[in-house]
Amino acid sequence: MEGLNDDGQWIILMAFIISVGIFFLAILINQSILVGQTTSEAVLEFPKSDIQDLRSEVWVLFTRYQDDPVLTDIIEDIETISLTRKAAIVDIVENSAGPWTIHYNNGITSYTESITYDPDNDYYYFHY
Amino acid sequence: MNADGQLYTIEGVAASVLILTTVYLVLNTTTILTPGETHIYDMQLEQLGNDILGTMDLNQIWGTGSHKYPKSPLEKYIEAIDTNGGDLFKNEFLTLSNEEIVGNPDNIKFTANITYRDGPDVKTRFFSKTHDYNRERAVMVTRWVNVDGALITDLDDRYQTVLLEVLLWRD
Repeated sequence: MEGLNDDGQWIILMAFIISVGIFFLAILINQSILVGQTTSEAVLEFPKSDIQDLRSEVWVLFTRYQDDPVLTDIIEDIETISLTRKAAIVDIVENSAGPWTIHYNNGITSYTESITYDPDNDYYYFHY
Repeated sequence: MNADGQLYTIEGVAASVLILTTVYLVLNTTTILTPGETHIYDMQLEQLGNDILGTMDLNQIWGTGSHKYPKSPLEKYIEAIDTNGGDLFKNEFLTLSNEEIVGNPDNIKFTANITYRDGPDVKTRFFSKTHDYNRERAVMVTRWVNVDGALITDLDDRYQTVLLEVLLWRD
């Protein structure tokens, strides 16, 4: 190798290391965008607020209208409006003594719950 | 020992620091909005709206006996829809949504309707708004509200549950 100048090898090697580093960072940035998108889409698609709202409304109905004939009409309100405005099937089964049942289905998420309310206490308990 | 290569190593390290700093600065000066990131803002706005409606729909006093659950502010506002209920709702909503620890108030805008059942039909009626909606990028938040229909024109004279729909946006 006499007479051959190999100083440039260093520059090429360093350039190679740097390019690998930049490439690695680019992958990280790319991944972070993807993670943000899929996470927020999943959160937006899942009807968390709808179900929370429905549960709290059924609780209000129980405290106000248990054994009241108007309850049938009110449940009909919720079921009809749900279907037309939210594209979700809701079925609320009232019960004068035992647990109430809530069914919810918007085509993607299906949810069923049986709740036993205790009118003598300011709390309610539930089982799935 | 020949240490000529050391110089190139130092130069390489210096060059990499320089390039990385430049890339860092360039990426930070421009914010590129991808569809994924705007979903995050939608999600936050939706959560904020639902929290506000939930807060307004809580009665502030816990009753006793057969009136354990007195009317919440939100229920009273909707029952007063024919008079000043819409204005009261607007003030309360903006108070709750524009609270900031520091800096200028938020600039949330909304328009709200209520939807009720009339026999087999489902009808919608205007409730309250800050601005007209002109196809801004908005999110919808909803809340079931139990009201006395006798207090509202157009609604059946019975206790009923209506759906409050709020279209929410910033610009």
